[in-house]
Amino acid sequence: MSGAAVTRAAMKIAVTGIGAVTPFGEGAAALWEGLLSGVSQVRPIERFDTSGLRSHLGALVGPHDPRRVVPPLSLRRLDANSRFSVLAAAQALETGDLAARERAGIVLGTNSAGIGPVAEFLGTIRAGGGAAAPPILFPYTVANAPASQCALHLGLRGPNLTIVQKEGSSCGALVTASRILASGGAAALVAGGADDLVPQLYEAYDRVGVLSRDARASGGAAEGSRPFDAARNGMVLGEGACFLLLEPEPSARARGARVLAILEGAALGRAPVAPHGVPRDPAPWARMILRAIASAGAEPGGIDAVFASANGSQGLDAVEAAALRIAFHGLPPPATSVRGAIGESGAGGAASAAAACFALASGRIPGTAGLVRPDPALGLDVAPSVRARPLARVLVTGFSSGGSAAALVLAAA
Amino acid sequence: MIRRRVAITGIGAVSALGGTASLTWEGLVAGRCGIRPVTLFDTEGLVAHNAAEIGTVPPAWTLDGALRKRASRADRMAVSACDEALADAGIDPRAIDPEIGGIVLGAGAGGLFETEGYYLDRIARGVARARVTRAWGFSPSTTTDLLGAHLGFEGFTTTVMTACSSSTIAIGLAADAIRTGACDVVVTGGADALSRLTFTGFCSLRAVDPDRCRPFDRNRRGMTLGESAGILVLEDMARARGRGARIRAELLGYGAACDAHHVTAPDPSGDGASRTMRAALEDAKISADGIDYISAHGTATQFNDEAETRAIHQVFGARAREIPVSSIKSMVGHCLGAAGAIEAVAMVLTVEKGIVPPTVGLRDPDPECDLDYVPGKARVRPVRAALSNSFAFGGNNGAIVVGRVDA
Repeated sequence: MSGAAVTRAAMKIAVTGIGAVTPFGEGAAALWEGLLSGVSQVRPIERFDTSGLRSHLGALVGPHDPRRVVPPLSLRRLDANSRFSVLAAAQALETGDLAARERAGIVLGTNSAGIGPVAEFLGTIRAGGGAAAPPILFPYTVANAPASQCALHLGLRGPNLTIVQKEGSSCGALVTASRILASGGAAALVAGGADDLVPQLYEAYDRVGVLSRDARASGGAAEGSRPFDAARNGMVLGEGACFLLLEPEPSARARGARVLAILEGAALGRAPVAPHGVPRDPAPWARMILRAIASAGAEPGGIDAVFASANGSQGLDAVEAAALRIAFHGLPPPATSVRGAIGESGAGGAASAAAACFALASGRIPGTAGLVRPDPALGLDVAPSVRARPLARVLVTGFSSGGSAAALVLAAA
Repeated sequence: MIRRRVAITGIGAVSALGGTASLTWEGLVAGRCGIRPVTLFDTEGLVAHNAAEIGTVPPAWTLDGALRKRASRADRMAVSACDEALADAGIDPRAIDPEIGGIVLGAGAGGLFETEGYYLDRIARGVARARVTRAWGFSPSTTTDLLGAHLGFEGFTTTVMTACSSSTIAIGLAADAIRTGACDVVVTGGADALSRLTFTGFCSLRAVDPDRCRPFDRNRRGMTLGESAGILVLEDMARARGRGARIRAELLGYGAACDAHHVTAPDPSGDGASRTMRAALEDAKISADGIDYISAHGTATQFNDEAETRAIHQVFGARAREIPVSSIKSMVGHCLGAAGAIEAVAMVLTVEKGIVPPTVGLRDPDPECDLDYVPGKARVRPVRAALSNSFAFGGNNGAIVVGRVDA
């Protein structure tokens, strides 16, 4: 490994707030309690018709009320992703008690933002010609709309970035935010991700066969979100938004903020594979994990748990497990995945990171919902139920189809 | 903390003015306008019919055959500009340690032109019969992942999507990756192609000039869209010096800030824009007096050009009128996700060669726009450092500062 690639992050970053709108409903506490309960929020989709498809399940957001942070008139104009985002980002800022927002910004990771409006916009011009194009919809065809709405409604006047890395988008956003903070580009950043479950994306994923499908279509196991399971047969899409409030530790301490966890290290990387493909070789992902751990000034042996990005995909779960086995010399620490409970979305990595913060504070690793029989081929220590143990430092991963990869090392405050 | 310096060691471009950085530069210096009638799709019923369309998109022969079959026009432009930039830098991507190489691209419509085919097919024939492979470029990250497969890099890689400022902010983030030690070499910039959706969308906002854009002109009526790729190779300065690379310029810093004002319109006070420029200058550790050229966002919309002019006055004070400010969008069009990238490539050459490209089409200056916009003709003038602005939907603003490196 090269010298530069392991340069230690020059600055420790404090996590001072968490906000979430997830299938467990509104609030980070609801997410954490839901994950501890072991109950999956994956259910049949009723919002749109899936009868012509091979997949029928999703994890849609639970009860939430954005009217608290967005006036009703404005709310009507927001797309679903922006509603989740503004509410979750507001909570992150509130729990972090951050009033100074002149140099505070947002880094939002997303996989699906813009897709629904793009399809709707094209439908309108196909039906009525170019002159019928709806100008109000146009800005929402761009994936930066949710982050922009967060800035508008929450007064975030610092850097405003939207990051796209498919499934790993929000993990990538958190790493990106850590680099911006380390170089002094912002005083604080709300970082995480958001997706809404877009029918057009669901259909396309169904067609290309990356979703878990019903027993008839799969010729075997029933449809379901089963990370690490021997009978996993694809991912289940979820939706929601989750954000962490990040700021340099010294300034967080100086303003008397409550520090929930420390982001000690982070890395971004990729494995060479074609867009949307699953890498064959796990070694590049293993090297990325090691860079993240090294940037925290830690050793693989110092990692007490892994909040994995496993989502029940046959291939991605296997490559991630192989990368973990390489990075941890055959003995990875206990692993868990939030995707069994809340499905896969651009918010997944941030939800993992949020769960990791709660886990560090409470010494509990949530179980992986949906997991019945761990796949022995993965060689991972995984469990369906909560495990209690002292946690000093954990790894959060964000691997994606197409090869991109992100990892965070979070430590107890 | 110690921040490493960032060298720019390679550039590459594809634009309506030519298929390389040097051909593009020749066109810019000659004041040639690349705007012409759109041939890619039907513009009937729209208020505009012109764009800076690329006649022949490079075939990207160096790309693996299976990837080339799927690659969008934007992807092929990106590969061509990337190959050119790495060759310019003297870097064989397969010969360096893959962990030290990163990719940070700004995204725009990207493969949307091709993906539109899937969406329209889906409406016409239903989900079950639409060809889903046409949606291959649906994700703004597709071009980045494609370059990743092409180069074999394993280091810091991500995709920034901030609409019209994507590639400016991507270049800034790439600089952060080098400065903070995440990697040593980053391929950055962006590629963006015309699409029905963006063309129709900007027409629907009444933000497009029916003829060709005239930045800062009294009679300007809006932007003209374009398409291009601009790629820069950023490198740890010590590494670049150590290997005896030709350092074309230095990436001194960047700034990002948000208007937090409106979804599509810029803050008319220029406040968001001036905060962005100030943040870039502060990050570059350079005073306003050190800037000898400004590559304007200069879209030629009524709102942008006035707000940007106001912001330049706010930041540069009495010196504002002495600094040449030009908009190359008057020649290569507004390339959306690639706008900042193609402008960055031009700015590197501006600093390196001491030639300021003009704003063409500007005949009758708007009294509200009272800066030196370098109308019509390029100007020879030493440039110690230059600043490039990009403003976007959602007030997602970015600016970069590039400095001359004396041999």
